[in-house]
Amino acid sequence: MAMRQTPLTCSGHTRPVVDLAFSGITPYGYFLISACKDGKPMLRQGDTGDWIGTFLGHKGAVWGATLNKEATKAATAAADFTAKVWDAVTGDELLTLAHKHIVKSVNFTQDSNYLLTGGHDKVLRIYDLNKPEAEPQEISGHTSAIKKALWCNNDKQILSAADDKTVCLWDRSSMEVVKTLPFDASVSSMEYIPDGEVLVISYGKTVAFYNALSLELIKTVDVPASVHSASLHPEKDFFVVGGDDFKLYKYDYSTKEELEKAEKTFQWPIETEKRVPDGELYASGSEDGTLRLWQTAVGKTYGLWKCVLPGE
Amino acid sequence: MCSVVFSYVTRYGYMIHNRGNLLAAVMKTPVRVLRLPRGPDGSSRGFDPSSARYQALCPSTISASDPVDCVDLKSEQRARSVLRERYLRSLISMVKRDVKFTMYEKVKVDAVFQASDIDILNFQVADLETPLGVQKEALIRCPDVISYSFEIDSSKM
Repeated sequence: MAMRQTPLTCSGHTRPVVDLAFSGITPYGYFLISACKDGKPMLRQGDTGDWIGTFLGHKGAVWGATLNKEATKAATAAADFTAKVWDAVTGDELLTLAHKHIVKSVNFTQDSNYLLTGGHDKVLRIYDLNKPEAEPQEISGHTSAIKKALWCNNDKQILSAADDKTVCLWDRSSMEVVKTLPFDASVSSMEYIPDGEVLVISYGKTVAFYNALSLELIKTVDVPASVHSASLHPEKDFFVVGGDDFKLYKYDYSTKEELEKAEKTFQWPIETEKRVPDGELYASGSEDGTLRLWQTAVGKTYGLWKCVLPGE
Repeated sequence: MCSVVFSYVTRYGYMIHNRGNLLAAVMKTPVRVLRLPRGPDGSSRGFDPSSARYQALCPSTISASDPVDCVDLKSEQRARSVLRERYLRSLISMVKRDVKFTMYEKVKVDAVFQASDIDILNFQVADLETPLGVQKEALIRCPDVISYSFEIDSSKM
């Protein structure tokens, strides 16, 4: 029987949702954190979208949010020139890391010992979370605001995307740039898949896939609208794209065929979306403040979705 | 004539078949959901201490102290409870009193304390004296406050 996708809408934010991140799979399930221009990032249960708590303390729009693998710590990057580290179990603020300008991106290493930050002051910073009073290591080189900074290659390297239309790969020990990728248009999103070392970069109306170690291009896919963000399924069967035409697209990774398209059930363009650790659902955040969870296998019983058998 | 009827029947049959497919495509059954995701409860910041995850992971998240053994943890927890109760009582005794706030950016203001929110993030005050005049009702952001002081009415002690 043909099934139509029913996304689960999570309300709570009052302003655009600009970043989303999932944790790894923990004994208590997995979790989702959302960064929002209302300055109040929220933690949700990953498979149901149920709200768990709100991290209170930032005094400006929160541009980036991330969870560590075990979902015990959260980090946020905000327009109040700070990045904050939080206890993701109690919701308490653990650290405030002052910066010289708007912070856009935060990322934990696998062992949660270091935090990478990047923002409008064009400098990548590495904080040792066990020595928060110590000065961070700084990596300069970008000539304009950093949008996204990620650890990669077992935390031995760093990937950064900036408004200067480049993506750079840095070596963590030497703090030197290893390779630079120039683009014609501003990079709108960047995602790193550790398994298989794939990098997903979106710019203009294109989604490009790169080998994360060599930065060699694997393939590009053109989509009908300007891309806000793109995310690849962990098993690399398909990827989802959020466009500024108010639609969420799902494409087959091998054939580049468009599989599914979600029409605008909401007013505003998709800002960001992420796929979940077990690949069963993906999440999108929107300018209207809502988050939506979408099924990978439409009709399957999972989380709050219920499989309906013929005759039921 | 025969062929005309035949082709009409054929065309009709073909259209019926096609419309069935069209209907099936349009009338896809939406996936059923058990309920909608729960949203914020509006009265607190969440992180329910009675949840399984909190209970299991919380002892390791008491940030102020080093990892200690069970006995020390109990006495520390007791001390924390006493301090917390004392603080909450101080807030109660502050209601309707004049309070002097020292804040960042060299701000010093006077106001009449009304209430605090549950997470001690905002203080509701009345008659806040500012350089722009007296603000009848205002919210003071607690993270902006360095210190505050008020007089306890000694006659009530």
